[in-house]
Amino acid sequence: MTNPQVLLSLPGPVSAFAFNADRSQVALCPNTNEVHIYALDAGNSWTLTHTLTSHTALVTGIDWAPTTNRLVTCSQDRNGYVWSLDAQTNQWDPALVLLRINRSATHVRWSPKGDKFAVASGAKCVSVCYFDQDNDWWVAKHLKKPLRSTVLRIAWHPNNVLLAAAGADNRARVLSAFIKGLDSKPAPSPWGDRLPFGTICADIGPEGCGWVHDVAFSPDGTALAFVAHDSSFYVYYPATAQVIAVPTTLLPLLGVMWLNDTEVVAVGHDCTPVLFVGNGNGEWRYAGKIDEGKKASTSHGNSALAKFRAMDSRATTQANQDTELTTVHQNSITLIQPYSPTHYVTTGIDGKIVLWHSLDEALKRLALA
Amino acid sequence: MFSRALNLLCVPTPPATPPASSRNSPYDTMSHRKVDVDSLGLDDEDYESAALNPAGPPPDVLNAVAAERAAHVANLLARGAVAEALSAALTGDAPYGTDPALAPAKEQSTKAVADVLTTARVADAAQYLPTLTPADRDLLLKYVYKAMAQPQLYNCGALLAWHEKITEVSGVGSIVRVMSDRRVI
Repeated sequence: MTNPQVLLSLPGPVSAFAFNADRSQVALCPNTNEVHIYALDAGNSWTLTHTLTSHTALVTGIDWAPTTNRLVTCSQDRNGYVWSLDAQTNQWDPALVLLRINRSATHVRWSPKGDKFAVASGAKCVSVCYFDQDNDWWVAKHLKKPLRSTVLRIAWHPNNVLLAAAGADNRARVLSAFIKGLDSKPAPSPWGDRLPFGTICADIGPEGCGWVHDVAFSPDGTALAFVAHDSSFYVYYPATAQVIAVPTTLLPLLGVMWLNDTEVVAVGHDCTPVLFVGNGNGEWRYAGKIDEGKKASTSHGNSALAKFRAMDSRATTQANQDTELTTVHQNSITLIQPYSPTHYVTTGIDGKIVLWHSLDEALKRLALA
Repeated sequence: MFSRALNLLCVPTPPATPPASSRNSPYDTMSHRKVDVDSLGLDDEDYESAALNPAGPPPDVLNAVAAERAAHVANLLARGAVAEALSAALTGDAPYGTDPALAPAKEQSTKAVADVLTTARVADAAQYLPTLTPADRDLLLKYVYKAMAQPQLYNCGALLAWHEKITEVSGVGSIVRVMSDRRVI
């Protein structure tokens, strides 16, 4: 397997995607109102198996619960659906979730246990939805305070109760999404002890920040990383209420993911994942780009046919003049997700879903440098 | 009349409104432009003005600080201490905010920085810029953009050369920070 490996290459942007638990299927939205499910067949290639068409506008978020095998999708049509696979008919059955929002939904994530999910929306609120057994439908509770603008992304804490929200009001927040009757009291953590629904555990707004594009809790849950539109990477430690800022020379970063407690991968408009390394004492530094890009190769055997073809179609005299970027991704990377303990997967506006090895030699060199 | 002429040529005229099939479909790419966003009235004005006017000293204090800084910088430049003048021009409270009373502070601060940049040789930028902190370089770039916005007062050619040197050190991230930071000098 080459590193990085392009799993799928769609003709247009991918607005949302999610792999199932054993990574043999992927549900994605090819920038339309449909959700396509691809499965890995015997010949190790991806084939389209299902098309889910309940939404009437762009699908902005998809998540696949590993434990319950349920899909949740949310869309600009202000709806969410929970899909369950009917084993007999091999069809995905939708269950409408009334999110009660009057603006588009932007992002959706199952909680770590898969019993509830949260939907971020442009209605300045996050809808935390759980299944009500008595009424046999999904109920939404709103987290409204102190959100003052669109919530762009959300992330769950490993304890299944805390929720981080990345907002377009230039702040990253940690709120409690404790549902009475569903959740058991969480263990005390640096984020707080008593955590009824809606408690504001942290409200972080570094100066001059810009939109916060993505948030992620560290694997042990003691820190929060976020990336903002001012091309900076931030880590917040609740124990000391300290924000570590790492301004970069790059274009803004759009997604962030922890590899382990000291390494964070971020993706953004530079079309390559980048690495940030912490020293365990709260100091973080930018370690470099993971995809440096292939050097443009000058082919010596420029055939006359290639030259004239280029002259005809592109009015250029050089046959090997590439309009492609040297990195694997050809456009901004918008989403990054874990794939396995050793791999992560990214996708973006170029429509490629790319698998990266997180224990790569190049990565190790960057981390130690 | 034109449409009749087109009919004669058997070319169909484009419809005045997009066909009904394209609204509410994945091919509907334009209907969001017809929404009257201003009438929705959702801007949180307290939040906007708080972002644009960060908490800091009142305008008269900022004006006094700016005047003192400008005098100090002029002094250093007269003595030929260019590196010190550059860092002196970037220290102290910057005149952030949209209050019209801050206009003298903004003018004097920008003029002080522009004077240093025109006196210093661009070729020596490699000496001066790495000694500044990244935050100072971002602030310097903000002043460069502020000065470039007034070409009748400042020499944009020199400013553009300095812009190039600053971005060589601080990258496009620095330009993005100037654009996204709500604290405007």
